[in-house]
Amino acid sequence: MADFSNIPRLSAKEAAILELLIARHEMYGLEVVRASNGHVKQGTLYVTLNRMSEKGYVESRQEERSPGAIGPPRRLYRATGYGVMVFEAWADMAARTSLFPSMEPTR
Amino acid sequence: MTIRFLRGPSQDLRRSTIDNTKLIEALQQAEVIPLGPATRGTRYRVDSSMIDNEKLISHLVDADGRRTELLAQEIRESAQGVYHGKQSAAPMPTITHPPNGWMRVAAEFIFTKKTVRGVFEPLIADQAYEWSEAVAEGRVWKVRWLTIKYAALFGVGALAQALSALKVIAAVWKSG
Repeated sequence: MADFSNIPRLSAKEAAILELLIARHEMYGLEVVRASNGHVKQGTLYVTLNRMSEKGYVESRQEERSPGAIGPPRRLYRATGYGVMVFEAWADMAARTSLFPSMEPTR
Repeated sequence: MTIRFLRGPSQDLRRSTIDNTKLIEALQQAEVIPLGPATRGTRYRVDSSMIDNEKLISHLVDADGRRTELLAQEIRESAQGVYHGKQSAAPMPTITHPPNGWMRVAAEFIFTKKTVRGVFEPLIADQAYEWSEAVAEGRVWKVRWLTIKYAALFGVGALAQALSALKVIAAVWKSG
């Protein structure tokens, strides 16, 4: 049996966010919420993204503003190479064992 | 005889039943006369000098779809007078300060700079984005709803952040 003990932990919400960011390359937080079909809630999204950023799964940058744009700049999020690796390992693990929740499509 | 505008509201203007208020709306939307104030209760005057006769005739077609000059004179005469602003258009609230301006102050007071930058600044930026979208569309009730929604989201975010911090403390406590 495969050894999954050294794979970093990934919650279902983190997996859903990573799946979207990998598929769409770069997204605003609001886009993640809208694209997740209710899997990701806006109230806890940025707490989760902040935690994922600390773990090194995602990185972010401020959007480029056009002259005359109003309001604070929004942030764009993307999966890091490490995040992609962790997600792929997690998806592999989820597919191989019934001990872990199977992945649900978020799109 | 039925006359209708090529552009503007899809309404028929019948010789015997021309509704002056609807006529003015049709003339404004067809850009035959300048747009008057849309706010409720505002009065404004329309006189014959404001009516672009060429545009008026070019917009009028009869029941068979043919351009017609019939009734143009009658419409010009009917359209003159003092009118009130649209009864259905609720005035947009005046923007005196950004929505939920207290959120940033509260977040900076309670949480670290890093948390504010990572968790609350994106939420405030989303709020400004959605809010300005709703204002641009003139959706007054959505503007009000967003103010309440983001206040609630701030509360949820603050609670989730506090719980997250407690989990870290608990993990450190257990390992120690």
